[in-house]
Amino acid sequence: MSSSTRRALHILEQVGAAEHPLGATEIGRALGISAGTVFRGLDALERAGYVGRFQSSAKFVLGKTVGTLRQNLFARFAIRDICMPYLRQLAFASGETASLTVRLGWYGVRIAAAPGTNEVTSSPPLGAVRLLGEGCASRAILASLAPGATADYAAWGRRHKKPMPDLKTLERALADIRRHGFATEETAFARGRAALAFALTGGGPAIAAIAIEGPVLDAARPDAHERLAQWREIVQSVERLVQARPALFAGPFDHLDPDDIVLP
Amino acid sequence: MLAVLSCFCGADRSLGVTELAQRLGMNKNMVHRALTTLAADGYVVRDPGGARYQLGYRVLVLRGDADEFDIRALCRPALEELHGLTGESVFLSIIVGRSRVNVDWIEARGRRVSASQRGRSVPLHCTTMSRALLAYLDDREIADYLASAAPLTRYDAIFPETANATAQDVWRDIAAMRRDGSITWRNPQQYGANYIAFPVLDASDRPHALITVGGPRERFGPQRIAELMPRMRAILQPLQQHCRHVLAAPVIIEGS
Repeated sequence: MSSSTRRALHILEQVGAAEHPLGATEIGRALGISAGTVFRGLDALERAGYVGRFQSSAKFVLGKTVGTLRQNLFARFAIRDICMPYLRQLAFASGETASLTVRLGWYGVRIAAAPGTNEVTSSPPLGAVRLLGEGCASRAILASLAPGATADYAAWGRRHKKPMPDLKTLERALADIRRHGFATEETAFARGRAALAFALTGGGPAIAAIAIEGPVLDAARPDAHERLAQWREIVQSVERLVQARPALFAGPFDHLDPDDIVLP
Repeated sequence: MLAVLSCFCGADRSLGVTELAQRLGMNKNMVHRALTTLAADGYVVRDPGGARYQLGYRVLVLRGDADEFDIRALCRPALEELHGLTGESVFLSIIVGRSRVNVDWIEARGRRVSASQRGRSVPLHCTTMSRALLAYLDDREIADYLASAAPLTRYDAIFPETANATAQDVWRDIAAMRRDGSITWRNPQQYGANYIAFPVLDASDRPHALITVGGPRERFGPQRIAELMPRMRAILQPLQQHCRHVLAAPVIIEGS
């Protein structure tokens, strides 16, 4: 394959990873190639709609095509569409943003959210990816996997130089999650309070998790919240739908070996 | 290669080499090489059958800030296009609490419908523009709202165009909006202006926002609106489609 097409993808990923619009010089410096080469790549990307000019300047941001591809990817997870009304119920019942995280190999991807009325900060974007050992939604999924999966996850993480917690500590945390029936995570801006996530299973290991992202729980006594049963009931309504037709809700990448899915 | 990846923007769950080659007018060898490059990074993956390709997970690394759902930024290009097409004033409105608030607008030149109500919040039952948003709450919410709202006639002096409205009038507007996916009305105050409003909804038809075009009757009469309708719909369709993927912000009607 010609290196110029490969290079276009690298340029695209630079633009995609940046939090501000990027110019050709800046991209060239990061990739170690000349600004002229970058410019030709950007031109091809712009014509195909993968990047666009930021306010008619010479700086670039991601274009519409990328948004369409991402939305298409989220739509491949059939669980998303049936979850939407239940996310809204949870957001209404808790006042906090409720979100859906699906499993992708050893990662969790947040693909849908219903904003809560108490939300004051902007929540993470749709498509945000976290390792399965990070964050309550991902951990709720990890805790539901077969025994031995945690060790496989940790081994994969070490192979690919991902930040991994100590295996014993992680196993202990996952045991807590199984005992409570939900995972918790301390939230920014609210010390001593925690968000929570329930795994969503079709009988076996979880295909997804539903999180209430606000600081609803007392981190020291997560079990004590009087509305836990109500929230759990809403999540169980989704589970009953999944259990009725599990094949319908299989993930689009379930046929891949999780070890083969590696994101930078 | 980018053209190959772009083929996965459509509704097809998976695509085969032959199919892609036909669609792009490329030979199979070229398509195959492009797929190999794309597959090496996970931009595409083989489907469970192994013979065809599906969209891969690698697009997740292309984050930028494209996914931030800022309704004003998202709708701005459509407002500009609608203004360019019609030459009239356009408005973007959202629900805040129990009211409609205009959060963006472009004013036409000369004799025009003005944004006199900048940032002012207007109760959801006053003016047709407000009711066009109210229409996308559910019937129970609307009934609760109307039961606890100020008497429908209280604001008649401020909104003479909907003076003496009854709950029945409100429900009639709601039914029209839901049936047609748009609503037109006339405001005798502003040069007998005509308006047309379109909703921006989520997947369960909850309201994100309302986009309204309004102009003096001599320029923007019912006939002109009918002529422009297909083009206005074409401008709004991609925006409306995009917004369906994101849940609308919650609306709290109770507790007045």
